[in-house]
Amino acid sequence: MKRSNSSSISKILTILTISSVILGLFILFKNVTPQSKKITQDLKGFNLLVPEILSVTEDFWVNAGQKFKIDELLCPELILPDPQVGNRYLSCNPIFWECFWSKGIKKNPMLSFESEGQAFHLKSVKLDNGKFGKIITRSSLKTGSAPDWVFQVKIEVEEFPGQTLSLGLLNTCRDRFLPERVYAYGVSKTSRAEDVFLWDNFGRSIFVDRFPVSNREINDWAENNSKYMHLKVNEIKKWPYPAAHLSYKEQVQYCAEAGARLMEPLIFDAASLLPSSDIYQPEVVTASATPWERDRGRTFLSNETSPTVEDCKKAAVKGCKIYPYNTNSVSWMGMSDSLGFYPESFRSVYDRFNIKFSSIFIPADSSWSLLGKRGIWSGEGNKPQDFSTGSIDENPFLSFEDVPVSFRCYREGGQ
Amino acid sequence: MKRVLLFLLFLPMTLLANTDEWQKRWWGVHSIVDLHKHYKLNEPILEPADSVQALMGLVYYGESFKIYKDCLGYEVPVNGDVGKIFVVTTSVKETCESVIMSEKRDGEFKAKSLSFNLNSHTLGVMFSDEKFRSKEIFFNLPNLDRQKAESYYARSVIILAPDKEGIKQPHPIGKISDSWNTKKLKNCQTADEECNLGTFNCNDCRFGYFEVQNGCLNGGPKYCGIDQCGEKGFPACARGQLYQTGSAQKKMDCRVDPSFVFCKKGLRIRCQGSLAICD
Repeated sequence: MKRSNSSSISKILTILTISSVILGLFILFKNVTPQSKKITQDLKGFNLLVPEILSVTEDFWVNAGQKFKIDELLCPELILPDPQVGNRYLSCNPIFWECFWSKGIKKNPMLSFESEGQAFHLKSVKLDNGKFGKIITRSSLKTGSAPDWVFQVKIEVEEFPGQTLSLGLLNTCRDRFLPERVYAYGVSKTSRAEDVFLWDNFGRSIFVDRFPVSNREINDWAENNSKYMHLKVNEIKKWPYPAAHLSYKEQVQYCAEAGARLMEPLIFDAASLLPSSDIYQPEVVTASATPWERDRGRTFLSNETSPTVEDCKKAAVKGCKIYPYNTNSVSWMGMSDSLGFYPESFRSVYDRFNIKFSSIFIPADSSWSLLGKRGIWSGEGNKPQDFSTGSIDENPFLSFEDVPVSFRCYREGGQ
Repeated sequence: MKRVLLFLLFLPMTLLANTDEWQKRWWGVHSIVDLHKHYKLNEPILEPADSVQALMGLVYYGESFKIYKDCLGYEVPVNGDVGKIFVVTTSVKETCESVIMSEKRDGEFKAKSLSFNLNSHTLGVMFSDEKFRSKEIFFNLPNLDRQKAESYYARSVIILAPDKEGIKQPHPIGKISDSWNTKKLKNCQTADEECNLGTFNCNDCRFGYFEVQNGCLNGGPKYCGIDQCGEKGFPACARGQLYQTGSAQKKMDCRVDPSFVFCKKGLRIRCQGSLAICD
């Protein structure tokens, strides 16, 4: 009896010892083995992926111009190959979004990423308008507080059937921030610093359009506002080019409906004149002649000879081709085409001079090919008589039948 | 026994289901408003016991760009008792305090204690459940840190929540023809003579807004409409903060020194009270 008892006790002890060894090994193994969180196919799992979905979609939307080339797209009904148009046209562009997802680049369009060792694939889903996205503007909505312009899309993760994420894509590619500092306005008639009008934008968040407003952007606007349908440009080839057929009033209205304001000479000069120092509150600010060089005498703008291809990249003056969505004549803070290209209209705040004459119609060595130098536009037409110099100088557009007038907007941050 | 087990299983599932739904709606939160004036971050909320408190409002867009505010509320328990954390969805025009007693709650769960933490992209809710187990839930708010003043349009993607019925929406304010001259303007932010600013409602302006310079460093009154500063009969344009504080004062007076504004060449500055107008 005693013997059987001691045998049972030893059996129990053996079992306990083996169990504790197994348990110990299990605990040890559990702590040493790297953990891999399996992403479950439910809302909780989907929520885990949202930051990655956001980041991949945002990168695709904003950096399309760096990742793809216009020449490689196969959707002639939306974008035509044009060596003059920069690839930046593809960034933040609903047309490129439609082209990509309707198989304009590859047969099985998809964005992918990895999370917790698993691969996930994103697809844009067609909306009720039969397209892969829908442009919504504040003026087309009946609610306040909405963004001024947004491209609405729906993203599906292939591995999560039935779960979609609605996103609003904004056109941030257009904005360049104007740093807070003291700025000069206009051309100084004398070399005396006190002749320059100074102002500052401390405490203001100003964003200027990097490029002039394009025909494609006007089309988006017109399609959401029947009263502007007559401004629509149907030729696909012209879509990336600046909208140069609007009256002053229409330009003001376009900017207002985009939650912005028509560019003003003070802000245009601030964005294009080279700062004279790194100090944000200098006592003296002098105006520069060009966006890349203070002294005009050291640039091709003082030569009578025809501009070279390299010259034209600095300022598209007479004899140059125009290159929309390129970084030509880019200013110190990133605004393009601040000298040359098309004449550009402003809401003149300080004086009556409301248009930049410097353009492909004006020779390089003309006195108009200078930053801060402006003329006067009637705001109503594109005939030579709609322009004047405001002085005894001759109208430089007299020999042209039709003078395009481009424009851009600026936005000011709220609170 | 079986019932108890089922209850214990069901309790955490309910909690997770609610908060996952909240997270789905809150991905697109772009501003936090109506933050409780007295509660401090990371400090347990104990008072006033047996009351219902509105902690904060989370504002976000729906799929059709309707705008919603989710008010996070807390039924503060009497010592030792159980309280509730809950959400009431409302219009952005209502304050959370005014709707928090509503019976239309969008999910709730029980908690014996509560504290919360808020930073630029996360809302942390720390609580203990009925069995005094400490729990933490962190809500990701990626659109929140992208809506700071210096990056007005720095965010490129906003997440849209599923739409909800029956939430009153703000109307866009203003017509394209509204102008300072016609006196039909809608004031979207008031400013008094002492430089106190009212609530900022200018995001509802359909065609943007403009500010009228009154000499205050923190800004003047704002109106919905197209900016025509500097023109005859319109408000003068701001010349900048350096010119605003030239005399080291908090406020410059148009009637004493109008050098902080300018008008188009040939026009003079007329003071309409403290407002600077071009004539």
